[in-house]
Amino acid sequence: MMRKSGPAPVVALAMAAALLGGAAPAMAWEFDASLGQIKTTGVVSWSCEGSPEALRVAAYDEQFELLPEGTLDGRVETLEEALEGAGAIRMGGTLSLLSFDLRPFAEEFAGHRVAFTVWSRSEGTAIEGRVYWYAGANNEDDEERDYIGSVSLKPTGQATSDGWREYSTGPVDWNAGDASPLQLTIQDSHLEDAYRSYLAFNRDQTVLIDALEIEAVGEGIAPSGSCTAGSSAEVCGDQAACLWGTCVDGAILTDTLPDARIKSDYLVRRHALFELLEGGVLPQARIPAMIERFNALKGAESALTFWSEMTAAVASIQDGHASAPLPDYPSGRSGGVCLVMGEADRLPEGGALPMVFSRAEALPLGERLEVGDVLVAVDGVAPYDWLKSIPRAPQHAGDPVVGDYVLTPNIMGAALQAGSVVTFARCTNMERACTAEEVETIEIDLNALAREGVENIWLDGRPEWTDTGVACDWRFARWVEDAPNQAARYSYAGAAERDGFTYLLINGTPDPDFRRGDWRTAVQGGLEAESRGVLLDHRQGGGGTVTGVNLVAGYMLDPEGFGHIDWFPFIRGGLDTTLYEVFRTCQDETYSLTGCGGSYYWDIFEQHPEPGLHKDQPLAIVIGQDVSGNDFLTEVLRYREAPTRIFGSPATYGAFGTVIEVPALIGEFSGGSVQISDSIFFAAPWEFASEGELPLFMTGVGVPPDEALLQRQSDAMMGVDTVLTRAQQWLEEVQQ
Amino acid sequence: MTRDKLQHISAALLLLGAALIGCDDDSSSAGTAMTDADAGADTSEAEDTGEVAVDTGGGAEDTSVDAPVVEPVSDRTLVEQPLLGDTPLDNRFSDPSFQSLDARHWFYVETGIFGSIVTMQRNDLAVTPTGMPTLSDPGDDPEGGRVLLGMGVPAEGAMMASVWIGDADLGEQPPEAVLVGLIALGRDGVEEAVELTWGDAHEDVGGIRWWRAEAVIEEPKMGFLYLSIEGINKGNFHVHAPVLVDVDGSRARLNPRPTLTRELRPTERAALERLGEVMRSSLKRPEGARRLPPRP
Repeated sequence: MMRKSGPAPVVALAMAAALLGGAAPAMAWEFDASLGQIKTTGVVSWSCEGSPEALRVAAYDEQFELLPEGTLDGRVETLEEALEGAGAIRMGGTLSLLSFDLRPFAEEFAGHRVAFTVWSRSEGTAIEGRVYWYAGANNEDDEERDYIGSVSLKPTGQATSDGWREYSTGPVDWNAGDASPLQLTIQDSHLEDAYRSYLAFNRDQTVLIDALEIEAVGEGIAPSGSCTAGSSAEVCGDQAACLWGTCVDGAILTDTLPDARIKSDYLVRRHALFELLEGGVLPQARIPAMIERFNALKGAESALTFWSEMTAAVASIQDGHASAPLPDYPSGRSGGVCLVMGEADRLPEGGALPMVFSRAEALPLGERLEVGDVLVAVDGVAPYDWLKSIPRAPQHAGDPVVGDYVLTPNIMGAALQAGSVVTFARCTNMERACTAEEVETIEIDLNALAREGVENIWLDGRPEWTDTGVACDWRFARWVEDAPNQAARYSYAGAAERDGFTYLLINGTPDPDFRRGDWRTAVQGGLEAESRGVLLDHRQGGGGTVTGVNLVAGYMLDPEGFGHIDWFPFIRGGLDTTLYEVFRTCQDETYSLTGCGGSYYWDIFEQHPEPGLHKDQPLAIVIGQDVSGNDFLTEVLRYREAPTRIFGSPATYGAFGTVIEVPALIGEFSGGSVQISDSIFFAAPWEFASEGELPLFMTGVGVPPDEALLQRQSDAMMGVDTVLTRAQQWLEEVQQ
Repeated sequence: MTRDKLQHISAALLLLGAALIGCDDDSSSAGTAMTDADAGADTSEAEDTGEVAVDTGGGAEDTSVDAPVVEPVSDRTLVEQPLLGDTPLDNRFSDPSFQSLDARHWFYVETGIFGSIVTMQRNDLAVTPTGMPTLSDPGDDPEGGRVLLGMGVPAEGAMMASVWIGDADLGEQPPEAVLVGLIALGRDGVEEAVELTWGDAHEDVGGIRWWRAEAVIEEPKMGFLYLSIEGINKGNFHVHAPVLVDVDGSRARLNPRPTLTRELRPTERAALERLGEVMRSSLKRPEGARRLPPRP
């Protein structure tokens, strides 16, 4: 049974809003029970009985093509069951998106906190709504608008007995700096899902909307004054974050809080899904601590804390596949400078620090820097300490030993977002390390740089270079023909002969036959050529498929020298040899490509064109950012008997299992992700009725290198790839 | 309307706020006026119109004897709509509201030789038995053989599984064309299906006739389990509110319906095999990207 409830009395709500400066709930409509109707009380409202007078609205079809003026009038329906007044708008089918231009209200709501609310009644589909902030909203050129953030209209838990449901952003500051929101969109919630999943888009499914309003709920919460990311907590408070040197309501950057009616249930269901689905044995042991962190958020009043802490809590379970819900579009570009962790061997202090691997030299940030420059401070703080301290700190969910390494490319984007001062150190001495006096310091105030030539960054937008997201590569160099931006793409594979060795570069383990089979052609072409040994460079390894792993590994492993891999969902109480044989027997009797109960027996040599072709040759493996399929590939190659050595980053992620998306619950873009199995590797075929121990489950600990090796600054200055050079040197050594 | 209205409302807020600061508990009747009116609404179950019954709770106690009698012209009331409707938060099915139709949580497949994955249709409806969406077949092949698998995680002990099947054609009998089972692996190594059997009663909600199938599973299971549904393409059927929850063993034994187990059908085995093939491509985190909408 549904519980009967209603809004708190409007008088009391109004008073609370006035007294608490916006801490009160946003809802301020009135419900006339005698009529069974809502009466909006917002500053701006629309009863959906015709084109709105006060709101400029554009209508779009499912292809986001603008519909002719007057379309909306044709979608107004006079309905007895309208929630407000006599009519409602019917969305769905060819009317897929409404976009409300909010610019006319910039002055009215300036400095206020607001809430956007609308009601809908589903007749096949539902709605999702969102409010967007852009810098440079007044620019006529759409491309010059600079995305700041957005908040969603979420179900509030308030409904009517006949199926009308309230959606609201909840309170959020109208202004982000001097910018005000550009648009409110309401769209058919099936539209985007139909693009990316197995959901049919049915034009006959519709949804009614009614009683839209924008309510002022007090003064804005973001303090004025300048800030840095480091001073954010002190200057901006716990509800705002530093964006471009200015305090901005954190909700604009993360999304608003779920309504109080929903919030607790949301957290409970979120952690229940992780607890149910998590397949990793080590991550499962860490889930109780994660749940404690989730429970602590039930009382959170800061959206910034709520979403950021949830992200950190999910990362803490050490499942490299796990991610928290994605409430907003990702933002934060690098400004054309790619940083990867390197060894600052030309600086007096040395150490592992972010190093410029590439830069767009024609852009203002890139022209100030050179390849090999080392980032030594952000806002006066050591870079990795700074990154961990900032609000919305990016998180690494896999093996923590590789956390700093993996997060390094995020630093530039985060510093640009915050408007920080970055300090690089340069040594021009090609012979030896610089003394402290010889080190050239390059200090760049990113906030000032982004404002050069711009009168008002919020109203005019940031310069185009700040939004440049050049394709960064974890490699310092690539020993293949490197068409611009090609070799760093996920689906790329390239091979080359180098001094009698085969060099193979991959960026993941995609389906070899995807898109004309280019990946298969490149891998097979490279590995079936005659050579003295193989150098596998997968420093950028985004994972992919079993078949992708098989194609590469099958050439390298001895079919007689490796057993197989098994994966299993989490088995409460543990997996012993008896249960293991239960699974195996069930599969053997039943399936070929899958196992019973979600398990899987993975034969590396399945349908391989040349199994074991390189089993006797030396193999150098170069790792960097390697996850999932690339975790498996690295680990399985350690079972070779021929000389094999791993070079590079502190470890792979340790994500040994399959991953799925976690369902969204309140209109998030994604509900996050979780690994649903864990794996064991068998060096030899399993003997049934064996009394031996099962191998250990692997997830949570990455594959370490035999030689931990970062790009050296001294080599970078000469254009030499430290790790590749050492790997090839080793290949030569083992040949002698 | 905007600026003037803002000023008007601000002034009103201050006045009302000032008035309420001096109020004691008894004088807050202005604040309960709406609740009084709520109490006058008709909250009885209205099966023919598809209305969902509303528990009036304690709201009626607030009714003022002095309140003017207002004849309601609508039986609409305000209700709460919890996150998962009237289904439990500890539901062991991973996606009971059909939000993630990426062929993992819900897998709908042709059982012919090609094993094509079939597009599903999610239906967000104003009223359903639990307030949650439904899933149906898009209706493009009513004669084909199709299996829907829904992923779940077994409890350590006894479990109860249930699902609503809606029949938009309002059939008088439970939809026997729809076959519902729960496929799970026992600790003895036997993979079998437990039949979910129809209850005797139905509910008419939102113009659809709803039948509930359920089963109690007493033997412990392991790995993932799958709700298996066949035949929803053979009529106007909706799958709704699958629930899998732990139940106390003693309560489970009181269940009047016998637990019926059977071997998996070849169609179910084919669907599971195809699902396994898909999972071989799941060694990469899914993308969550969305398009930014056109800007004004």
